[in-house]
Amino acid sequence: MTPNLGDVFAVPSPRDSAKPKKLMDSGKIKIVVRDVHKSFKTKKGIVGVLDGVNLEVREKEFVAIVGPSGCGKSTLLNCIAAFEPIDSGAIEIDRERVVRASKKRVFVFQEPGIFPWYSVWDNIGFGLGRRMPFEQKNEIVMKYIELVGLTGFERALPNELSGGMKQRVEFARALAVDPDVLFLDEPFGALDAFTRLEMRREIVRIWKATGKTCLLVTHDVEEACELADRIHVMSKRPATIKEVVDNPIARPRDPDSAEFRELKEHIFATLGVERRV
Amino acid sequence: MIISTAAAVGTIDLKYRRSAMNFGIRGLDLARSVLLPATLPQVLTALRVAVGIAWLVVVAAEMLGVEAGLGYLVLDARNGLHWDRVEAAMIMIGVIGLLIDLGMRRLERRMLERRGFAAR
Repeated sequence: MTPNLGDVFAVPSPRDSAKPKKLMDSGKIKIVVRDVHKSFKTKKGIVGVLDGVNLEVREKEFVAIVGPSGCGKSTLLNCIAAFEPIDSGAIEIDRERVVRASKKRVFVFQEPGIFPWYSVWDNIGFGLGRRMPFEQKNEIVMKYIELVGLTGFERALPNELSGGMKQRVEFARALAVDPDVLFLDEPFGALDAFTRLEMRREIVRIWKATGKTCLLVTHDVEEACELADRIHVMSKRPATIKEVVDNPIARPRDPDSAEFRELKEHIFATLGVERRV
Repeated sequence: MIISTAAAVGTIDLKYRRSAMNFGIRGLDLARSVLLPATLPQVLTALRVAVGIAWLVVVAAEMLGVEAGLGYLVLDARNGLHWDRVEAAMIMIGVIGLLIDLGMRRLERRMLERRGFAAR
């Protein structure tokens, strides 16, 4: 193990990791989540989901949140996107408290949230509003259609497209409004293995080209290791951040390389998952 | 129809509503671009049922106080003991009702297909 990897893998005590980690390099802080608590009322009583979650995301950073299924990672993302209220704590983006959803931060859903009654063109142009002049709108829409490689499908309806193509439309729709932040809630979950690989490469390319801040929620450790600069590992419900792992591997990343495997092993160990079948 | 439309709005997939919320679509725009298209299948089904009921009400109303129409014909023929005419009128009522439903169904399907619902 190289010395700097040793530093990265130094496991902080749970007490330490409960506090936001001191930031190592410069870069403006984009998203701050401070001591967020959230619970749901069910028939069986109150279920605590988030139990004092702390999180920081810098500008243009790609951050992943991994955790066991049902641990509340999607809930956390929904709270940050202001789709759901929090019980206590604070969520700030650009030093402002998050009160409502905004076009400046767009959510990419696991199942494409694109509208089946609109064509590809109309879907991608949806966020631009109806008042934008056609010429201007067309220019933006066509640019993103090209970016996601759907040229020729402008007039197609979503149910005429494959799952991967729908997900591309979803990405294009999110990017078309030129947001600062992308929230990715297991965006590749509904795709087959081949398309998923291709889409991961695509998202890294788009992220590099556009410089968006990306916050990814996933249960796929390999995906998190491939995509993110930093990985937050969540505990079981009621969830806290167990550990923040920096990912020093240079892109393009080879999932078969020794350092990649080591990183993965480390995260699995933190999650407490037995990998052998 | 109002009841089923209201119920349909309540069951719109959360991700569609959140998408709209995310892009800041509210009010009339929301109704036009999301609520109406998303509830179209339920609204059209409700419309079909409503038109069917309307047809029955029309026939029933023709039996009261008017001197024309199929409903009137049934009553008039019965009073005159023209059973053949009663039967013919009954069949006509049924056939017309069926045709209305068929037309509505075709309209429904065409609208849904054009609106991207895989209703075939």
